[in-house]
Amino acid sequence: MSHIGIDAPAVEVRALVRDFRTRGGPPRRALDAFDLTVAPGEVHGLLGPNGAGKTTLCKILSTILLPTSGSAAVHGLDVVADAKRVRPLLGIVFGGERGLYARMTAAQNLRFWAALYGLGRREGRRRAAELLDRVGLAPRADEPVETFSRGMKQRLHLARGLVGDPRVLLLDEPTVGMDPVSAHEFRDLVESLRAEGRAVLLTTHDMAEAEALCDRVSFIDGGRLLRCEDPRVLGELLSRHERVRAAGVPAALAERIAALPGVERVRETGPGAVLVETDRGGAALPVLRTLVEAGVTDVSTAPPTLEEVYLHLIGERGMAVRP
Amino acid sequence: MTASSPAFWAAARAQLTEFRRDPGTLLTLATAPFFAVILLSVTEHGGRADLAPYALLAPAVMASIGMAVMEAGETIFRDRSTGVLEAVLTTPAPLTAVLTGRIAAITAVSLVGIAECWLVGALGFGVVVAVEHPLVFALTLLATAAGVAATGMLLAAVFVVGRNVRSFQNSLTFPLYLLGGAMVPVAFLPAGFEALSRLFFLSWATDLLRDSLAPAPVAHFWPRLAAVAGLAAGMFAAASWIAHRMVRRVRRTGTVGFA
Ligand SMILES: Nc1ncnc2c1ncn2[C@@H]1O[C@H](COP(=O)(O)OP(=O)(O)OP(=O)(O)O)[C@@H](O)[C@H]1O
Ligand SMILES: [Mg+2]
Repeated sequence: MSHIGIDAPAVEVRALVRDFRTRGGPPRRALDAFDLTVAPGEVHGLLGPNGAGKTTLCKILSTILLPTSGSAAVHGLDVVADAKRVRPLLGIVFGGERGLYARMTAAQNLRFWAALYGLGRREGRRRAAELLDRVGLAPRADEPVETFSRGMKQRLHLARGLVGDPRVLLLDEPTVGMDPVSAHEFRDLVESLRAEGRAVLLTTHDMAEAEALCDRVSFIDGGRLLRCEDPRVLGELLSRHERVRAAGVPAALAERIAALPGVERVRETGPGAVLVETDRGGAALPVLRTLVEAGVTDVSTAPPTLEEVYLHLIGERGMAVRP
Repeated sequence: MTASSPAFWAAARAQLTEFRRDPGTLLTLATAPFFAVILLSVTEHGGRADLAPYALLAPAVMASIGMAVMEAGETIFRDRSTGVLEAVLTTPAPLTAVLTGRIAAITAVSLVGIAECWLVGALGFGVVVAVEHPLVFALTLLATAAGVAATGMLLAAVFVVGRNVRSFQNSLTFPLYLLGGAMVPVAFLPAGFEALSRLFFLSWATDLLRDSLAPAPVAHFWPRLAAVAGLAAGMFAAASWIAHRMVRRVRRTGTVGFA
């Protein structure tokens, strides 16, 4: 199969393995029998802790890293055998500040990258202006990138990823360094990409972002796919396992809270400081009430961390149907 | 290959922008007039007006090959450390198109050294060295530029695996000046040196350039020009091959390994 499959999945990864050599030791397996399918027009989240293998997957898809075994295809084209035909279909945004010419202006950078996607000079100019406008950098178009803030560079990276008019976008932690307003604008941008029928693979640590943006979310850890879920499952987990933090809590009060319904655990995190973990939706409310009534005012709530959600996901795997 | 031509020109423009934004990258070029003053003072005060072409050509050639070592040689190394290399490899453009574009721009700019040196001669010393054989000069210059670019590309491909590029660069320039016959024609060198230097396009090129400035007819022009062009092409092929292998290595190991 060598034609660009219109009805082929935007991304199809089967039994993908990637080992890295380590100094002296055995090879490190960054991806292990990994499977993933992203449909055209789908926004797919890839959620996982540090070192889970997210960037490794993005690099293999973007043709700059070879798999050890297994296969990966973009619109039916193999990323190894058909790499040359895959590249024009892809836009890649690697997180961080790398990959830009610091001394050139934002517009010059974009025109450079446009040319690398085969655009002529006039077309490149037009595309650059259009994209700078789209990511909100038009007012700073003619300033050198080295004078940009982290979030502004991140926006420029997004524009760079779009310069080749890609069918598939790989976004590796694109909101690192963005303030909440920018992150919100980023969500709008991803929505518009979806509306344009582009597929997006979005790597992130931010569960709320994944929940808000994605059609489906894949959880990855240790190079393995844990689960592939509807993001509502994530939202449910986030609210079900809400946590309450409080300071100045006497031991007796902590014991009373531990006995409340839906309280999974009360951990002491310091002298008089506790972290209350719940395992039922709405369980945080009676905890808060009890604390406040007892005169404790240094109280806050927070969603569970990625690690905790992971523990719950792994714990529930027995019941879940894997797609 | 559709992106080759736009990529070449975009890379050349990017390099020119780099020069404008960071004039420090042109430092090698700034030393040429000083060398010209020194050498011309020696030849003029020594009563050897016949050596004026040598005195002007030497710093110009040194500036050009020096730029290849200091600037062109660093291109991949720098792109790698800024993450640009990785991003380039994800695009449809061949790395060699981007590389040749940048290095072509560096080489073109490096030829300004010739004008600098000739101006020093004319304005500072009233010495105007005429080009006696313009066609020989022009064709040789063209082939020389190709060779300088190929040198830069080869160094760029080799330097990328090194940890300490600076020290390489600094210790490489003088052997290249020597083997290229930039200051002293290689025929004046000890026999072993001369044989070795004949493998380097620049030794043929500098001899031809000097001959093109002298009134005597230029002997065996075409075979000598072919030697310049052939050796330059060989170096270019070697550079492409090494760059290609480097890319394969990056894809296999995930990093550009340190030698
Ligand atoms: N070039 C390399 N050489 C050796 N090991 C590597 C290399 N690249 C990645 N690894 C290893 O592969 C594993 C997965 O790394 P990867 O960068 O894919 O994780 P990640 O999910 O992107 O993490 P993060 O959230 O921190 O970005 C890690 O253990 C990492 O150390
Ligand atoms: Mg990563």
